[in-house]
Amino acid sequence: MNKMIRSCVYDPLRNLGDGGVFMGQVVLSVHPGRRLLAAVMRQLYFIGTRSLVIIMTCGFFVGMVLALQGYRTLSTFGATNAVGTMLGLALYRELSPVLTALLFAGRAGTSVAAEIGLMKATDQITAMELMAVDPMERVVAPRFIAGVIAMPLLTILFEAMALLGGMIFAVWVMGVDSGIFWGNMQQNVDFYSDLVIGLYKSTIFGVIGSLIAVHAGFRATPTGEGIGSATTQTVVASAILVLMFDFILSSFLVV
Amino acid sequence: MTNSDQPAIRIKDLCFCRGDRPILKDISLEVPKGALVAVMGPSGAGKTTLMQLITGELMPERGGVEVNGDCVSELNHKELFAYRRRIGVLLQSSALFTDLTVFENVAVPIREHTHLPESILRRLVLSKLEAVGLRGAANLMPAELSGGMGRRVALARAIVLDPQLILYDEPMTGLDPISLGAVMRVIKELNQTLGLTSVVVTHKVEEMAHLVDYCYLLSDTHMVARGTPADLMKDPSESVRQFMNGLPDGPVPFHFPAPPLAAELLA
Repeated sequence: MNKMIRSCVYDPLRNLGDGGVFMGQVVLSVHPGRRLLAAVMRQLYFIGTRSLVIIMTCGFFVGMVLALQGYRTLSTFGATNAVGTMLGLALYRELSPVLTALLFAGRAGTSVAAEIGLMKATDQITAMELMAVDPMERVVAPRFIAGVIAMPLLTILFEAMALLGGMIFAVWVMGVDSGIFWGNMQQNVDFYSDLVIGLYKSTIFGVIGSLIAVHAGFRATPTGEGIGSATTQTVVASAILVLMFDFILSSFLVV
Repeated sequence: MTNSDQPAIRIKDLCFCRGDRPILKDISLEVPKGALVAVMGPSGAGKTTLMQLITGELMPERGGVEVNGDCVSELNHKELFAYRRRIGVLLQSSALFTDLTVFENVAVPIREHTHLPESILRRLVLSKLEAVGLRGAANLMPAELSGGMGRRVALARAIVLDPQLILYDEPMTGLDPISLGAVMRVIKELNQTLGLTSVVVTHKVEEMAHLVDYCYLLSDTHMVARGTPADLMKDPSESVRQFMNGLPDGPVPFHFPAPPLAAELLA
């Protein structure tokens, strides 16, 4: 009984607290300057640009399947002209931020966690500390900042590809009129209350996902098993927290 | 403010425990400036712990470590980082940054702690690489280096800012005889030409005898012997004899503590 309480209540709470303290340390270690900018740009490439293939491909297929299922359902009400609206609303508000965050955790989050964990295991972090180089500032902060910047950008690209895929399916395959498709969407989907709200959410998911990834990597036990466990933990914790915050944010942000 | 007669390292009555287990008890030693000394002992004797107490990674329970006048355990975070800029450490695993070339690895301390222009930085890095014999490998990645070469690059990185003191954690472990000779030559040359106080943590008795001026032997939480390599070879004490001659059984037992064999087999 004690063990169950420990593993289900005490350990997650302790991890959460540790994560909060860790984020404070990361933020406090940042010294703005040319070196930090160069490091962030480098990480933006590894974290953001290298994730483009998965984000855009998945976005395309999500758009297509959304249009497929949406068309089928809407046709029972004779409302197939609203496919564009349905795509826009569903994607901008919910699907893009959440799916991008989950894909990001799986691709970039695990890569960052494994990289930091491996640096710890091969004593590179210790070597840095012994050279009077702050590993928080040099290793952790650039990856965290790059993750936060990359997430909304990737979300926009996900949405763009999804709309493209949806349009291709609805207009070219199912024959919805192109003008009606776009016109309907333009009329009913609002820039601020749909698109921008979605981007607020995705920025917050970026903070959550990046924090979990760097924290798991930094706290990993320096063994092969420890690093594997850190990557699993990244995906699981990111998924749970992103979906939990999605509900919390949606209930506050619904205009 | 430093007295030239002051020893580089002065350790007095140092005690350190991990939980309930004592690792080091009442360790006292003094390393004069410019000396090349070895800290030896069987595995688990606390050699690496002693090194971590000198670099400030660990805090002692009692006693103090003074390096060039600074009491290490009393330094705050900023002072500790300033202190670490003045010492060089070579870790057993070399710990080269795997995403940077050899040149960039050695340049890291310079880029971090100084604002030297690229031309001077380049000359500094290349001259340190020349000192360890690896100037030609400047553009290789750490993954392309052999173990001995990697260790020499890490050594170049440790001395690039001309520290006052350098600590080597098992620099001779895991190397073939040729690489071993190369590393030993570099350690000796750096100590002699730069006057660099060097502390080598090692358990290679024969190599140590050819290398160092003075030696400390740790065993079972205490310092059991100290002296020149010749003195240690002649020391009659049992722990020293067991270590120096490589005897498998003695004060450090062969058998890990266990219940009697008959009882366990016939139970």
